[in-house]
Amino acid sequence: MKNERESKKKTTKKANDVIACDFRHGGLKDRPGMLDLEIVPERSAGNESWEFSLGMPFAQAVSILQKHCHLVRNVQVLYSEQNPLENDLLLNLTQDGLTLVFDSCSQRLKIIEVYNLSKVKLKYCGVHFNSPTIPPTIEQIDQSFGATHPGVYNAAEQLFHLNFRGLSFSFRLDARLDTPKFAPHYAHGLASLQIPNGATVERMHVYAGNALSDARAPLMPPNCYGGNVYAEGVDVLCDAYGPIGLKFRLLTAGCGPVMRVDNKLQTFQRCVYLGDHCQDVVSIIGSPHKVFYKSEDKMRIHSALPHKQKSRCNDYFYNFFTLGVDILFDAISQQAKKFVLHTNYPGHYNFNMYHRCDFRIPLIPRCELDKDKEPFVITAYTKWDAVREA
Amino acid sequence: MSVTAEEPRRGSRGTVGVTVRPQPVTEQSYMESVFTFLHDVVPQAYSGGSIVDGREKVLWVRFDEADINDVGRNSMFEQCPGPGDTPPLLLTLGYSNGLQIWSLPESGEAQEVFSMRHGPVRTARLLPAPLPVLARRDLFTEKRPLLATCDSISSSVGQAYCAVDVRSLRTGDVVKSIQFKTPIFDILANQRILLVALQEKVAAFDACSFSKKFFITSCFPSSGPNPNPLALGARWLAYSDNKLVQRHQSYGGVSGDAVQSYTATVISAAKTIKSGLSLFGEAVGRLTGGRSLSSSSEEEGAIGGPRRQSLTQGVVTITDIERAQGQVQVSDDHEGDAIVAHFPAHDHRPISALSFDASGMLLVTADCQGHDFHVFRILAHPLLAAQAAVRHLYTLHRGDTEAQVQDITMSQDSRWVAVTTLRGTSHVFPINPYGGAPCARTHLSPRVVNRVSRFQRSAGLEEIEADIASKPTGRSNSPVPSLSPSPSASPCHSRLARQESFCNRINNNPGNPRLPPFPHPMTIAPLIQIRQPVSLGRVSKSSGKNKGGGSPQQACSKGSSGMELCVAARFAPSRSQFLNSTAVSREKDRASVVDNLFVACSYGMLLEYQLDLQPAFGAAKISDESSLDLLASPRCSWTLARSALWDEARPPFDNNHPLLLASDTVQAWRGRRDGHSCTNCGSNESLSSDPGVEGEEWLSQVEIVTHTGPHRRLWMGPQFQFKTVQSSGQTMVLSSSSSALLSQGTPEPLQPDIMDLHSLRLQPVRSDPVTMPRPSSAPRAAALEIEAGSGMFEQNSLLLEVSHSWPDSSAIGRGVTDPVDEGLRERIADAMVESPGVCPPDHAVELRREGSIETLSNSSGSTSGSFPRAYESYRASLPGLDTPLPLQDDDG
Repeated sequence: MKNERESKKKTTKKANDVIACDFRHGGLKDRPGMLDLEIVPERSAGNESWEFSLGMPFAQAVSILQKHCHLVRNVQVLYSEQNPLENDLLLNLTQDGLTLVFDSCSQRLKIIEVYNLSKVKLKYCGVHFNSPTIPPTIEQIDQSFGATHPGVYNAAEQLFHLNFRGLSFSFRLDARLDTPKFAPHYAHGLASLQIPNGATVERMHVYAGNALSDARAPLMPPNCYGGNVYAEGVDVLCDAYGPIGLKFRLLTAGCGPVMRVDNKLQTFQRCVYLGDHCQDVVSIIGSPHKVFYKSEDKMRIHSALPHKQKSRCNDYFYNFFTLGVDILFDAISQQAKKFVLHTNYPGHYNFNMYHRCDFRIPLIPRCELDKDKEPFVITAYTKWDAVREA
Repeated sequence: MSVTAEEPRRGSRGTVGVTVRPQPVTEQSYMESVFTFLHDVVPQAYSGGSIVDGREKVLWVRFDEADINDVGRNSMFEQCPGPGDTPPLLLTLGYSNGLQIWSLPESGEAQEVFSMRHGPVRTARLLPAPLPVLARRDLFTEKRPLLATCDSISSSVGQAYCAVDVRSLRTGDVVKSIQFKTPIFDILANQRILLVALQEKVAAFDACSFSKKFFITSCFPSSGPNPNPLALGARWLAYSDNKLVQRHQSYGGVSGDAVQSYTATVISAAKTIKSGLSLFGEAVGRLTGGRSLSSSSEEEGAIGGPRRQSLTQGVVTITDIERAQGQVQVSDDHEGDAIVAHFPAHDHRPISALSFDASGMLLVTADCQGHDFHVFRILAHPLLAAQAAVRHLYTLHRGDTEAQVQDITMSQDSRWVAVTTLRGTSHVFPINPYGGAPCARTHLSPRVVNRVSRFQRSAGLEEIEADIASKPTGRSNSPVPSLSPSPSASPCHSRLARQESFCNRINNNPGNPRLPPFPHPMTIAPLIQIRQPVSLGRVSKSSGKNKGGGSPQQACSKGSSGMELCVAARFAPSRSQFLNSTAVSREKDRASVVDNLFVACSYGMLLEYQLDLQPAFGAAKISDESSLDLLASPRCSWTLARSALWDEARPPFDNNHPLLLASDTVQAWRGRRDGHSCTNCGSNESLSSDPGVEGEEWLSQVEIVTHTGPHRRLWMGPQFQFKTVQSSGQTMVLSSSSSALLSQGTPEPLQPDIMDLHSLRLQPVRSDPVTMPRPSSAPRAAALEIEAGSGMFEQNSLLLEVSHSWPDSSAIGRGVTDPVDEGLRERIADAMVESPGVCPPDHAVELRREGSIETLSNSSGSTSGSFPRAYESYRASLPGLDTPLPLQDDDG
């Protein structure tokens, strides 16, 4: 039924379609396995079995892609080598014309960009507005979304931007025909009236917030928790002698069969101390994702005390992947004796194993003279050079 | 012949009492005991002999935990690693006329540390010193160690066994007496609370002040030797609840289809029994004859008495004693803050025994029939019991006859469970703390190995298995046939069914271990059954593998109530090493794999069994997966029963009494970090002279491998390719828009911003490896480690030799096979795009392509080559540091 209606629509503007198809699509072939995504502005892009939600952690998006590796063949992970925090972390689905933009600090999904609409089918409220048979023309967008704002012309990019809340379309103009008409002095306010009928969407962005330029990765949506516990931040607690424990600011949302009260997002603070028993730790921050029995201790050779060469066997790690924390327990006393905090930078060997732990480690000044100074705080974003200077 | 009564030596008054040296169990007596075992249902045959006359009657025995064997806080065990490392065993014997406590250090010389004669004692417990918490002040610091007893005489209400007396061993006076209206069954204690088990009730008192902390009135009674079974861990209390409340029910719990797997177990067990064909046939016949489990238990119920009518519940609740206040109950109109988990542990059979392992994550439960014991792993949620999960890991199948469980103990590393029944038989089961079949790989190593072997991991078997496991849930509308509980399961599984159907919808959930589906429990038969004779004070043992249950011996002794015997067992390192020095070296080789089993029985005898573990005999070749054989041989024995001639050893004790010394050291302990700070101060001294020391110390604390990695890392491809973006001062929005500039011309739109990994080596910013922090630069280096970018590469080529034949990659590869051509095309594309209005991104860096990206995805060899090199250059630029760490792969 839906198709019928759409095909009717198509016949009315057939001429345009032909041009568009020649220009953009190069044919009406529906590639098997083409992604068919439902777009929810400010929220997500996905289908009935999975979705990329804004605010979703990087690892979760990767896990979706891995699960559907037969659909999504090639994914590029793009990151800045020199300065991983300056540029966003990207997942580029090259065969699907889709880029997922992750905030480099929080590693949560910030923008979903469709940069090649010919490689993907898109729906809004269950109705396609882009597919091999339905080109995403300005009329189609108007019909599906109902334009309320005028478009904005960006001369530098030679693109028209049509913005909705949490969703924007960029139209490319046919350079030969249209550009003269849109000289900068025309392009204020009324220019939208003059988006030519044949224009098709060049790119589409889904983001949270009012404008694409100040899009921020939102908090993780409750449906991404899946009963897991995530840490908003981890403070290292210190006393005069050194670190004594970790203070977690935790977030969790339950996942129940029905909408239950405990499915809502909950925040709470918990502290774990060195010397806590296994049962303490698990009561406080929940059970670990995995347990790893330490098999060997090669760094032991650097120990100053010779008797430590005989390593205490069977010490084990509790891996809290979503917290980005490992806790080492002593095999004999079952007490926590070491915390490992992970920063999860791309390019690291363990990248994508742990969620980034947003930690703060205050360094207690050693000598009395420094007592008055603000203690230097190491975070997950501190460069080593800065640590050295402190 | 067996136990020679050596005249016990007396210690000096006020310190320790009698010292008893271990007696070897000679080869001869061992043989004889095997012989007698076959006839031990005829007591007259060997009643003459070894029992030493004049011993007082022991009512019960129990191993205990107190300050003296608190490895966590007793610094005596930290400072001298090596031989003195093992804490002493503490054995309490209850007499009809008093109480006696023995300490058995590693030297093997049992010391009587407490002995009193004053009427029968029902139960007694040494109280560990409380945890040092600022908010709570210990009111009894000066009095510790304390001993809580429940005896017949002290209660003033008239009824016996209704009061707990807390007695100071330092001063000898009773510092606290707590009265109850009903008889006390048991006393438990840890560093936080003192628990008193009453009829269907539990009362908990603060360890510092003995003020009331919380109480439970909803316990379900057991018909077994312990009417109110409890398990107390460091923080959790598990008890048998009298109802199941759906609102708080945790995921998981007992898996209902254990019945089905019995047959398989019996068959596999029978394979190892060469002459056991008749037994095999009998067992299988019983099992295949309809719902054999229930029918056979019905028969035995007739003998066992009328307790069958009361079969219900089998629900376990675990509470967090830190959060528990007032009345603890599980109910619909109650938030249940203090509940950790709430789950059915046995289908409609009351719980008769509960026990946590050392870590407190495993809970072993037994029901009143004693056919099967269940091992659960508790996966707690920080907020709610309903979000927690309880994984049923094992069903330990003892047999099909009825037996009452009196004692469950687990080895320190949680690889062995010994369940002792009222008939005096200890059943030893191998388990893994993470589930799965116990095999040569997991149990022949002296240390606990990880769940996934290197072979399995490198082959990706884990993922494949996970895939298979999740298959039924992946099919969106299937009713999950294989994973749903069997129809015979109780209504308490209704929630499970819902859970699993729910699971269909959330198959994208990233590994939350608390969510179903859970793997099926595995049925395990005991590897060995060690038996104390019921009728006389002689040592005997059985190493028969009557795995199918229903062995004739058991059948004969069943049902006669007079043949119950109090036995306690405990895994511990050997105490007999110093017995005869010739055996030491030989023993050392083997002893470390399994701890020895110490069995104390109410004849006042303590026996040490050496457990020898071997791959199963008869296996074609010994592989990682071979099953196991366990041999038990008694090493030595201690005759600890009190002689009427012995003096009492009653408080007050001198300050150099072992219990007092231990209490002093434990109370002086103020957290592990204090010990650290002491060593830090020490090293600070030396630091000024030798700056290398602290850095070295720091280095030795670096952890290289902290988790079991996946079999392929994300960056190993082929689905994911890692590319780096040149930072050009652009924000990402612009950079992504610049990507569009080329989208018409080239198939890969993001090229201009991308340097392939290989070319990165040519960057001028490539740095030297960052050196490890020097002590001067890191103020708290010894205790606080900043380990950024822990580089660890598995050069194990196994991991990298995974198929690169991604179906589409050939097409892509073809497109760019000629690197020169490709580079040319890009430049042309660049040139074409540059229009007057567009400022191209910074192209100062020349693009150099050497076909490396393609080799990354096409050739496994280059994966190991190119990525780490890129990584090297990357290390320096990370916000943090990295260390040139040795390469390694984990798992043993």
